[in-house]
Amino acid sequence: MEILKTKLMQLCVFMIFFPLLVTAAALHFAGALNTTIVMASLGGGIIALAGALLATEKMSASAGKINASLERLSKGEALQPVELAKGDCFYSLAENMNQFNRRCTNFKMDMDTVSTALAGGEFSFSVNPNDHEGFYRQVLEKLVDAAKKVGEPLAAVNCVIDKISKGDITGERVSVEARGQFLALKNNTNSLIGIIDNLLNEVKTVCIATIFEGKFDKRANAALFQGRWAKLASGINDIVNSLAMPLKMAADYITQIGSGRIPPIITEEYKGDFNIIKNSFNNCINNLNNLITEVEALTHAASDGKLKVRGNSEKYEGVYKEIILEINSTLDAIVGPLNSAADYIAKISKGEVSEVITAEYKGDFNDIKHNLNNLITTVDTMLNEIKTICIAVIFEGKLDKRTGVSQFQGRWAKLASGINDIVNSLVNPLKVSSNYLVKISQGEIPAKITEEYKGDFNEIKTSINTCLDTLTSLIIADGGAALQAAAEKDLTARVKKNYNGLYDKMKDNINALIENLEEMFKQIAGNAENVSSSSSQISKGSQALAQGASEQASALEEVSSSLHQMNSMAKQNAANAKEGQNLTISARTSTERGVDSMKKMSVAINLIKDSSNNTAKILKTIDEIAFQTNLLALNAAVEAARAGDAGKGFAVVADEVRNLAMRSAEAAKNTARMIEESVKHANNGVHINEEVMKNLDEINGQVRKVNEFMSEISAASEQQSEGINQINSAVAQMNQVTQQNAAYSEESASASQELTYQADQMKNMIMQFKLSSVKSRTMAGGFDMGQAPAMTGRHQAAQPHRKMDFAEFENHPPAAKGPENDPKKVIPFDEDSSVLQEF
Amino acid sequence: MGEEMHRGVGSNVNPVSVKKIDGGKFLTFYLGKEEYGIQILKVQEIIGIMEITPVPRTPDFIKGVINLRGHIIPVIYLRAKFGMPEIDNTEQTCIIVVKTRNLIMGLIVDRVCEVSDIATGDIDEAPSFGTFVNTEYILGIGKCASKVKLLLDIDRVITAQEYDGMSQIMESIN
Repeated sequence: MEILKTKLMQLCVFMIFFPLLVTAAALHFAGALNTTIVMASLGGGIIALAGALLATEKMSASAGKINASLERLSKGEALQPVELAKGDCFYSLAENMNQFNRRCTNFKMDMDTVSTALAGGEFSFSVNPNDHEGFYRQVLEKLVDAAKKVGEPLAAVNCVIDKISKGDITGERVSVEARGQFLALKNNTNSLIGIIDNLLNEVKTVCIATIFEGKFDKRANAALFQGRWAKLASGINDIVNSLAMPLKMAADYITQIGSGRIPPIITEEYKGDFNIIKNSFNNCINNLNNLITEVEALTHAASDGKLKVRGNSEKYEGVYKEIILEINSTLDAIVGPLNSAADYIAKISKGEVSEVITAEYKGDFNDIKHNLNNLITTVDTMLNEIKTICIAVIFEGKLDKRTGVSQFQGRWAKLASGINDIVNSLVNPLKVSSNYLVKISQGEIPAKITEEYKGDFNEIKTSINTCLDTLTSLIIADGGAALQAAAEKDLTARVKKNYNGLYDKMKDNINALIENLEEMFKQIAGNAENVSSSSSQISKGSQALAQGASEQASALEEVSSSLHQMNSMAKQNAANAKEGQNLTISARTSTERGVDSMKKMSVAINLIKDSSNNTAKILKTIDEIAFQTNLLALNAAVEAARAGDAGKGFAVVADEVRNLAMRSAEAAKNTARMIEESVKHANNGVHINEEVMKNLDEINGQVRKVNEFMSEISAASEQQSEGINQINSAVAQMNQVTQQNAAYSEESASASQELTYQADQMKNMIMQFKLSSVKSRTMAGGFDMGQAPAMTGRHQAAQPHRKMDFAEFENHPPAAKGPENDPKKVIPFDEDSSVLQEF
Repeated sequence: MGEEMHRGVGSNVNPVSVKKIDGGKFLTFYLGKEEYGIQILKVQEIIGIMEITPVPRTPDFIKGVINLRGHIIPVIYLRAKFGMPEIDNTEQTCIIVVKTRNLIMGLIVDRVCEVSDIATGDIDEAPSFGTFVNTEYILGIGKCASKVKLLLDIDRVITAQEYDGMSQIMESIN
C-alpha cells in the first residue's frame, strides 16, 4: 500500500509540473516578443529625428548634446536628461526627448516588475496600466489580461492536484474556463482524478472487505483500468490472494485445533514470514501432541495407582511447562494427603498412635484429615484411659479409679464400661482382703471371713482364714504362753504345737532363744566364779609388774647416759671427717698444681730436645769443616813434600793443621755423642714426666674418692648423731612409760580386787532365774543348783562363796584356767598398747 | 827419582831377589780395614768425592770421569781393581789424584789417613805367594808401630794394556 501511495504521488507531481513548465516557457517567449516590438518602434522614431538634425548644417553644441544622448539611446542605455536654454532652437526637442525618456523609464520599470513576477511563476502583478498613456497603457492592459487568462486555469489545476497529493480526492473536477492547451490540461487532470478516485475506491473496498470484514473473496475490478493502473489493480488482487491462502489454511488448522482435533504437520512450502507461521504451527502441533501424550501417561499412571509418577516439565517451555508443572502440583496436592492418611492408618494399625495431623489440606482432603484426627484422638484417649486405669489399679493400687465412659461414643463407650466391670470384679475381694490385712497389721486378729466367693477369690478367703488360725495359735495360745513364762523368769516353758514353714521356724527360734538364754545364764554363773579367782591373780601379777617397771626405769637411765657419750663421740667423728675433707680438698689442689707443673716441665724438656737437635746439626757442620781442613792439611803436606827441603817447615805446619782438624773432628764427635745422650735422657725425662703425670692423675682421682668418702663419713656421723638424739628422746619416753606402767600396774591390782567383788554379785543375780536341772559341761562343779534357792540373801552370801570357790579353783587348775598362768596375760594389755601408741 | 823407581820395580820380577826400597813420605789411605800407601810425589792432590760421569764401554774398575778444574780425568774404583766388594760412598770417601806415566787419574778410596814418613829400614819387600798371585803392584810393606801399610806401586796398579786403553779413551774424550 505504501509503495502504491508513493508511486501515485510521483505521478501527481509529474502531471502538475509538466504543464506549468510548458506555460512558463510560452509566457517568457511572448514577453520578449513585446519588448522587442516596443524597442523597434522607438528606434524608428529616433532615427527619423536624427536624420532631421543631421540635415541641419549648423550643428550647435546643443545638437551635439542631443546627439550624444541619442547615441546612448541607440545602444539601449538610459538617456541622460539634456538641459538646454529656453532660447535654444533645440529646446523643445530636448524637452520632448526628456519627456520620452521619463515615460520609457517608467514603462521599463513596470515591465521589469511584470517579467520578474512571470519569471517567479506569479500571474497577478501590482502594475496599474492607468499610470501610463497611449500604447504603453494598452500593452500593459493586454499583458495583465493574458496573465489572468493563463493564471486562472493553472491555479485551478494546481489546486485540484494539490488536493490529490494531500489525499483529498472528493471527485471534484477542474471547472474553470480554459482554452487550447490549458483545456487539454484541465481535461487530463480531470480524467486522472477519475482514475485515481476509482482505484482508491476499489482498493478501499478490497481492504475493508479483506481486513476489517475478513471477506477474503473480495477482489478489485481490474477491467475498470487501463495500462499500468490495471496491473496495479491486479497486483492488489494478487496480494490479497497471497494473504488469503495461508490465512485460510491457518484458520482451518486453528479451527481443527480448537475443535480438539490435532491436524497433521503442514508439509507444504511457504515463503518468508508465512514459512515462519507454518513452522510455528508445526511447532505448536508438536507441542500439543507431546503435551497430550504426557498428560495421557500421567492419567494412566494415576489410574494405575502409581501416584509417584510426575510429568517431565523440562521438555516444555512457557505455558506448556506451566501446564505440566500445574498437573504435577495437582498430583502433589492429591498424593500428599493420601500418603499421609495411609501413613497414619498404618501407624495406628501398628499401635503407634502419633500426634494429630497438623498439615493444612483443602476441601475433601481436609475432611479426611479431620476424620483421621478424630480417630487418632479417640484411640489415643482410649489408650490413655486404659493406661491410666492399669497404672492406677495395678501399679499404684488405686482401686477406686475407673474410666470415663461419657468421653466415648458407641462401641468405644461399651469398651470403656467393660473395662470398668473387669476392674470392679477384681477390686471387691481385694478390698476385703485388704481390710483383714490392715487389721492384722494393727495387731488385731479379726474373726474368720464367712462370706462366699467364687473360684480363686474363694481360695484367697480360705487362705486368709487359715492364716488367722495360725496367727491366733502362735501369738496368743502356744507361743505367747511360752514367752510369757520366760518374761516371768521361768525359762523352762516351750512352744509345743506343730506349724508350717516359717511359723515352724519361728517356733523353733523361740524355743532356741529360751534354751540359749537358759544355757547362757548357766555359763555366766560358772564364769563369774572363774573371773573372781582370775582377778585375784591379776592383782598379784600387777604388783610384781610395778616392781619390774621401777627396775627398768633405773636401767633406762644408765642407757641414756651411755647414749649421751655416744652422741658426743659421733659429733667428734663428724668434725674430724669434715677436717679430713678439707685436707683432701687441699691435697687435690696440690696434685692439680703438680700436674700443671709436670705439663710445663714436659714442654721445657721438649724445648731442650729441640735445642739439642739444632746443636747436632751445628756439630755436623763442624765435622764437615774438620774433614775439609784435614783434606787441606793433607794437600798442603803433599805440596810440602813436592817442595822438598824448602817445604819442610810448611809440612810441619800442615801436620799441625791436620792434627787440629782431627782433634776438632774428634771433639765434634764427642759432643755429638753427648748431645745424643742428652736427647736420649730428655726423651727419658718426657716418659718419666708422663708417668708422673699419670700417677698424679691417679692420686688426684683417689684424693677425690677419699674426699667423697670423707663427706659421706661426715654426713653419716651427723646422721648417727641425730639418730642417737632420737634414741635418747625415745629412751626418755620409755622411762616415762615405764614409770606410768608401774603406776598402772598398781591401779590394776586394786581394780582386780574390785572385779572379784563384782563377779560374786553377778553370780547371785543369776541364781534368781529358774533353770532346768540339766548339768552343763561348763559348770566347774563348784556351782550347786540345789543351793540356788537358798541363796536369796545375796550380799551376805557373797564373801564366803568366793573364798570357797577360789580354794576349789586352786585344787582343779586344768578345767578353765590354762591361759591364766601366763604372766603376760595377767598384765592388762589394753592399757599397755594404748601407751605404746602414744609413744 | 821416579824413573829410577820405575826401573827398580820393573826389574824386580824375581821374587827371590831382595831389593831395598827407599823410604820417604807416603800418603796413606784405607780400603776396608787395610791401610795402603802411595809415594807422595805421585800424588797431585786430594779431593772430596764429587759427581762422576760414567763412560760407556769401559772396564768395571773405571767409574767414569770427573771435571777437575777444567781437566777431564778418569776415576778408578780401587776396590773393584783389588777385587773388593763395592760399597756406598761415605762422608769420608775421597779421590786421590795421581799422575802416572803422564796420565792424571783419580783413585777412589774409603778414607784418606795421613802423610806418613816411613824410613827405608821399616819397609820390607812384598812377600811372595807363589806364581798364582801377582804382587808386582805392591812396592813393599811398611811397618809402623805394629801396624802394616801396603805400599802400592801406582804405576803397576794399572797394567800397561789398561793404561793404553785409558789413554785412548781420554784422547777420544778430549
